[in-house]
Amino acid sequence: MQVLLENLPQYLKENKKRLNSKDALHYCPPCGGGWGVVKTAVQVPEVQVLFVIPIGCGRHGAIAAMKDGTDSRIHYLLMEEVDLVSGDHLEKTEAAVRELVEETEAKGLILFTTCIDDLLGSDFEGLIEKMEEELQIPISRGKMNPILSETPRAPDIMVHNTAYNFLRERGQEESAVNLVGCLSPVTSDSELFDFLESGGIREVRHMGNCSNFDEFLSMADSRVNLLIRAPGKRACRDMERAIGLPWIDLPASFLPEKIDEGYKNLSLLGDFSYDTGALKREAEEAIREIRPLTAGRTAVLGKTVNADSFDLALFLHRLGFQLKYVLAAAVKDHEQEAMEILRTKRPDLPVIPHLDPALALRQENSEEVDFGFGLDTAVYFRPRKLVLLPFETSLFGYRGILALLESIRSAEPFSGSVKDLVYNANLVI
Amino acid sequence: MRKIAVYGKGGIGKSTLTSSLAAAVASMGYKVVQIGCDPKADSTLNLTGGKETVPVIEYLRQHGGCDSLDEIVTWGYKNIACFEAGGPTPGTGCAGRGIVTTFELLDDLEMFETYDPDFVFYDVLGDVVCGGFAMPIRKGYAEEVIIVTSGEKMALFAASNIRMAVENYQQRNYAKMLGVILNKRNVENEEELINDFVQRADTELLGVVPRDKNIQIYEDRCQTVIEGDPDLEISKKIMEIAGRIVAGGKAGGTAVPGEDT
Amino acid sequence: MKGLLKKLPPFAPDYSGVSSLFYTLGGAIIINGADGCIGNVTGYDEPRFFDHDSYIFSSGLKETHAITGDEDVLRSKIEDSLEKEDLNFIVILGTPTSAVIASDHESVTTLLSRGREIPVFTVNTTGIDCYEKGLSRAFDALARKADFYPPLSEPSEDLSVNIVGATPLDFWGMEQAGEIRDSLEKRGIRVNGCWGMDNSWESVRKSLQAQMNLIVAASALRGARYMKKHHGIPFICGVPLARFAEALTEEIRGKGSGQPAIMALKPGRGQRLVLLGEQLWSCSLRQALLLENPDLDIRCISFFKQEPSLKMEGDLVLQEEDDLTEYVNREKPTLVIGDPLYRRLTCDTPFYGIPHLAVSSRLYWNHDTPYTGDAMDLNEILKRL
Repeated sequence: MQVLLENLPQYLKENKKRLNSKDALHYCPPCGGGWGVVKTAVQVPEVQVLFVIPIGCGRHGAIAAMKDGTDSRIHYLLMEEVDLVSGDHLEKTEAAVRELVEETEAKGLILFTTCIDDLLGSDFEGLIEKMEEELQIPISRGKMNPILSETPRAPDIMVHNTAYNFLRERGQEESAVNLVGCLSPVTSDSELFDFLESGGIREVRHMGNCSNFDEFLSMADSRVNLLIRAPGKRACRDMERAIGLPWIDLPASFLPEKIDEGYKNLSLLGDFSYDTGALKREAEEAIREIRPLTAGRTAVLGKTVNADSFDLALFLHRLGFQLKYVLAAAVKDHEQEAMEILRTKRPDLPVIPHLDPALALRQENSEEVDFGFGLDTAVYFRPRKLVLLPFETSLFGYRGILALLESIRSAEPFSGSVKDLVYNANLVI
Repeated sequence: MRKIAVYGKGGIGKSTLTSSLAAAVASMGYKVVQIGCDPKADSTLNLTGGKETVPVIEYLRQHGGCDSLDEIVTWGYKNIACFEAGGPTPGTGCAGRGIVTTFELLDDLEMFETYDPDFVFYDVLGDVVCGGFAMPIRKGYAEEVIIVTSGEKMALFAASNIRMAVENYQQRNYAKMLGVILNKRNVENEEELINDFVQRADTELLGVVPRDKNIQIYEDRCQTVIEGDPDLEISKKIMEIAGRIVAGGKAGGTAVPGEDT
Repeated sequence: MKGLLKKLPPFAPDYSGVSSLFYTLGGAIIINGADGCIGNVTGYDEPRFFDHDSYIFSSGLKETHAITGDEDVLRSKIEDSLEKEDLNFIVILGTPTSAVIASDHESVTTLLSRGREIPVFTVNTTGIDCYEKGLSRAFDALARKADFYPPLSEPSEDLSVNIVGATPLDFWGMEQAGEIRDSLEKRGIRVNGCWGMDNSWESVRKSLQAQMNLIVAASALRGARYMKKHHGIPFICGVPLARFAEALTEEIRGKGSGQPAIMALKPGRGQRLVLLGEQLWSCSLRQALLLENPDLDIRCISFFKQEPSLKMEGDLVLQEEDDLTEYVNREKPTLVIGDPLYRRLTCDTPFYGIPHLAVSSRLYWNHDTPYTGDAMDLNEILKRL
């Protein structure tokens, strides 16, 4: 059931920050997925990934990995019915780990379990400790456990911990920082890199850019973690505790005031000579210039975008778009403020929980809008033009604004196959 | 900080005894936390004066999440922080997982860091030793295990199962046996049976709690005997056992508050 | 080692199988589990998702409900969430999570049935078994819904069959089912209904009007046997394809040799071919190839369950990935035919790929070469020998 923005705070309070009702069925079309834990975890180079799963849990990730070409590092140990009672799969897991470590030249291993082992309370920590000692290889526990979705231990959050758990020994590299929380690295044209370099930080690391395991481990030597997207926050906190690696909040945003704030935070690290002022003015100018194209145009913001829903929604509102709907999952802490501002401007804006069962009927009588942001808008509406903002492209800073504006300006009338669009995005729920 | 899991068959008097031990340790000046790991969620009633602690699972069921320890803690006798895991409606759901979830939530809310207790008592139902009920003796949780049993056959059977679980885990450097407490039911040859068990289990007897009507009298008032009347014989007996626990299980140890235990 | 997949993906699970049968019948399908479970169906095992109204939901099972028991929550979610009018049925399926907490779906369906005129039922899948086991239960469940069938549905006068078992997981495209239908209709056999694809609830309700069931997947056999026993509808097994279509339709007309067409020709002692796929399709293809070349030594092997009564010498079920590699190294076939992903396990043996959706999901589901009906071109296979 959709909620008007003016009623949203109360709704969120009742529903503990999430938009999807805890009392409703979920509609889960393939356009509503994301990277899933597989694609995120397999970014750690030279590790083998083993899933211990009932057959029903592994299929989507396996096929998506085949499409991405990463499947040679991903393996599945199938649980049988009797394992649920006997716990025999723990012994089988030991054997499978041995076999994989012997057959591959793995530098590390990620061991994923599912909701099942959460419920069974299986002791994988003990198993991992034993196997690490026996095989002399680091093993990190992963969990693909969607029964914890929309909780502080949701799989899309914990998968970052799974990856960074490999970081052990801390060295000192003053000229290096890490980008954490963004699935893909920040696009290389962002002024973030110029900014950092002006303060002597020449190395900006992201797990997706590491070419080998040692390079990935060197993330532990970096001076600081820059938290770009919220799902990485827990990993940042845990890395601070475990290896003393500090972190700074630097959220990717399309709102100039938040971008400013981020750079101010960053300035605490040292002297940065790069002046973001000129670029900020360029972005503001570009925003003014695009208004004739955007003012009064109807738009829908989908959930399947590489951005925070209410941050982007406020940005689109400021561009003059007449937002018709926003599809979203939750209001994250750091977009609360943007949501509040938008609420005063557009109390009538309907917010649709992205798993709302009523969406199942929407395909039949979809409304036409001028712009759709996110591929899911092409499923539920008929956008004349579509702007995708895929997870593979992490926009950041003023250049991020400019890139988004360019996508809006150059958006072609959408006439393709929605089906192809969705399947090519290769998303996992 | 010492974390101690007290296991025993349901109905053996384990919650009453755990609460009494917690009260005794707290009365020595230590900071104590007690976590009830029984779906009945009545472990801490004698510490809270009958005030019901909202079970964590029930809280999560109603609210979907929990942001603060204040919402789930009840402060009991001598400022003992009381938690109850709770569990499913009988006949459905998964009780073992309820314990895991409770522990994870307490971790997320940084309970150990916030309260910085000297002693944590986990009061755990020991009839079933599946993954969930064994959670309290896993890495990061209780490091020591006390088994409460009587000389009754079923109680000893449960005790033996618990002992086996601890042994299985011991190979992984998990919890170790601290000892056994006999909660007397006046079964024939009870001491003999227990001594035999203690010997086979390769552990030690921490103490014997005799049957005493005062336990029931104060339980009816939702109090432990320690709170009710510390001068009673039974209270002294429990204080004595608590002293041994504080001393690390060595018989006859005496408690000295403030010292590193 | 047993159960370890290093080259293949996990196959379609049982709930994908059940969903596949009920998908186009105008009901609501509820998968009781966390949202990840349904993601396998909607994104990876159901090619009709965007071509058909998709009224399939996850119960969104959460940890707290798994702990406290989920039956009441599930019931009220279903009651409150289904807005569509004119639903034909509601079916609830289980997942690994609901299996572990032993969710009582029977009680939920009983409560939901009260005051409703449509059938509400459950197929207790677990997500631990493969699709064909779910399908088998689903065909059986559908066959047992005798109360759906109109009481006066007398068998029709003309020669008519129900095609039973044509789901996308085995036949992946509407075109493949269409080829089966065309092949029968051009030979004067009316298709009364098709269970699995290309059909409606109405046509399922008229199933008893057909004189016969044509079973095109082994998973449909259990349901077919039920219909034979309780409704007197006989069944014949086989997929009409290439020249085998003629032999099969002869059998449907009652003019066969007396033995099942699908077992009529015995493999020869010549070049060895290995067919990996759904059993009835493989066996039908074997017959079609033997009609072209009776010397061929054709074996039907599979990772999925096989019906023992339809096995011929050399047919077998493989348990593990390594079994296939060992098999080709031992038996040294001239050609292996099967899902393209099996090529990863067949070393240098010549291979001809025919997708099996239950194996390779959406990797090849846009493939449009017909592997059923008269349009199936065997030359592509024969020229490789």
